[in-house]
Amino acid sequence: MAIHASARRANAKARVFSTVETWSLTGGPLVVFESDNARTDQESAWVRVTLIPSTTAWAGHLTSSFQAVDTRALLVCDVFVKDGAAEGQVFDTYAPDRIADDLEFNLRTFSVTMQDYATDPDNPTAVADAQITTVDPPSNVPLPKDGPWIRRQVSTELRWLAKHAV
Amino acid sequence: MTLDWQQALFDREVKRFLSTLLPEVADAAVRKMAFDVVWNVMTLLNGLKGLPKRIDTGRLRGAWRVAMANGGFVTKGLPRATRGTSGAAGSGDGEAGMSGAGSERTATVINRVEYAPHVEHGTATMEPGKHLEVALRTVRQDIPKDPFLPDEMAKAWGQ
Repeated sequence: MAIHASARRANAKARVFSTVETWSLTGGPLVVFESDNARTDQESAWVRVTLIPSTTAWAGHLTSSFQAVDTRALLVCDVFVKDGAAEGQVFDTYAPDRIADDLEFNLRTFSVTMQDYATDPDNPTAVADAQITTVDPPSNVPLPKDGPWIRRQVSTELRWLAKHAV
Repeated sequence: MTLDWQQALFDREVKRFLSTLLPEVADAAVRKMAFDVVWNVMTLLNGLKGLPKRIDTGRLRGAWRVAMANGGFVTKGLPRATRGTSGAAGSGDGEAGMSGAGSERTATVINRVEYAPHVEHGTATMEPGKHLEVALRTVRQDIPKDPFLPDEMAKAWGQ
């Protein structure tokens, strides 16, 4: 039996990443995804978006054809801003906070329809009954400085119902 | 931290669950849940369930087992260091203990490996692992609806 589009984490990942990409963040930081960590020559601020699989649980009968699986994933947005003050430049101390606040604001009411990217990645189609939403308000915390980078981490848990054919 | 937030939610649900148990069972129940969290985090560090694998020397993972052993917790069933992971955790890499009385019990398990926060929260060159956070969420999901917990405890601890 074919796997339903809502049960593909790859679809959720593509949908979430493409959504975050459209957000207007203060200062226009570069947005990169997951293990794209090669930022050693990066001078301006950047944000790394990671979607980490979390728990799954049977959520019961959905329709006559499908059981529902409560599927969850952690969305983690790491904000990196180079500490200009340490390099003797005029530096906005609050720049990391501004970006983190933008992310927090957008994630607080995050709700997007899952899209199926399998057939045509350029023209994904909406998947019915599969809304990706936040579970709790996001957390927005500072992490210790890492090399030249001042860090903030904004994260929240996302959930959606994956359909499993019966 | 998100982890603190998860811990608070976890504690609240544990408290609610424990209030349904007799005090003499509460100690074993809390130990069982601490064991489950540690078992989950050790397993997830191996790169299971789509999480990044963070085993190089095996010290971080081994420290969880050391902590449990130092605290007198059950360690049977926890993953052991595998062949090739030479950097076994030292006895100072972890500690654990139980506190409280009646149904107000707290299990504390501490991993003292200095790079543990980097593995959990990530760095500029490494994405976050979130092994502990996912472990907490996984165990929390099972707290309110695990009617077999007393049976499992009886088997595991002979009580």
